[in-house]
Amino acid sequence: MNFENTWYVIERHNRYEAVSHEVMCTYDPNTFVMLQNFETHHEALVELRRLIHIEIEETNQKIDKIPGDSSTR
Amino acid sequence: MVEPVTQTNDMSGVWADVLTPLKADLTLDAPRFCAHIRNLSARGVAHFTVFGFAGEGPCFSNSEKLDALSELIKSGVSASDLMLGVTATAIADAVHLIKSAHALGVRRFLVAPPLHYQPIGQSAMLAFYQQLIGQVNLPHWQLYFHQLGGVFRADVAEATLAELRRQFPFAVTGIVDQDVHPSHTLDLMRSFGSQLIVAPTNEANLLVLKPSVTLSAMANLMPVVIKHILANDLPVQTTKISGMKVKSPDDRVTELRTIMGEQPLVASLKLFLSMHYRQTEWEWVRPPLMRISKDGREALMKAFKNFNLLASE
Repeated sequence: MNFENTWYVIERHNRYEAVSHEVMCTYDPNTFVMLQNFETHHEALVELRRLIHIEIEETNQKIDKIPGDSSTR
Repeated sequence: MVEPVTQTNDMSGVWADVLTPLKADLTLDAPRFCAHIRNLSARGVAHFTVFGFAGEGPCFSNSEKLDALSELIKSGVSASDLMLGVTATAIADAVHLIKSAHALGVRRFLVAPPLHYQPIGQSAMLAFYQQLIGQVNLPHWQLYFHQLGGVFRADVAEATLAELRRQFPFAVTGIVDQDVHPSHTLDLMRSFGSQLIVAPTNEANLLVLKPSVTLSAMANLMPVVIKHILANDLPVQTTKISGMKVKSPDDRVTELRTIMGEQPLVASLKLFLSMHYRQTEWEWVRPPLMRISKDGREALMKAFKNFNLLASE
């Protein structure tokens, strides 16, 4: 497979990013993890959005589990 | 462009024993299948066994397998990088699948022994493969025997393998050994190592056996780790802190195997992959394979989170 014109969803500095193959090649390999490869930028962005929504949902669930402090009672 | 395989000893490296994704209605999820193979390829795996042991091969019909193969090839996977699992007791079904996949450009076939209501003797096993190879009657195809290991009691005996190799040297190419005992694989390597490719599947045995090729189910999750183990390319101890050990790739494989414990391998790997991709759909397995129980699932998920699989693995 040729990956030259493809796109990646990566995790870098605790954040998800959608980057082109060209850009990813400029990063130090020890500073990011590659999660998925996509043929188009659009597909990578859709996946990026999906992962961010999951993170938001999970964070909301964690917040909901925290007992309310006195100012909210 | 279809590239036919012409050499008989060109199989090497890691061949991922690819898991097969399903939709909620338990039909094959072709886009997710192509995407998974694409991701493995981007992580350095160049060869793929589809519908093998980890790919739930016996659970899929010929037409499902052929449709999926077409989709994979259309998505850019070279047919020469694929090996197709063939599990059929009816010779006509096996022949039809091999011929149809051959027409798509696939040349490597992992053929499991036939299963029947009673144990099959070696003369019957010999006759099965003689009939199969005779009826396939194609140029440039490679047959790999799938030795399922002790518990199945359906392996092709060494004498039968030798006879088939003698009669059909143009087709009989290799043996994939699913047995967990390294001594079993070692015996096959000693007997056939100079004539046939012998590929073990149990990742824990790779450092002992030092094969040139492996079919790995774990490669679905940690392809880079499996490549390092096969290449015997283990990290040097870099830390100088007394008592602190750098985990080597085989330690990570052992750790993951320990986490799975007695849980079914395919369902466990699919659960882990669903967590890795954050796609719950990956959890589905097709009957007669069973999903993991609710309690078992929760325990596995917790252990896998602690395992902390890195995407760079």
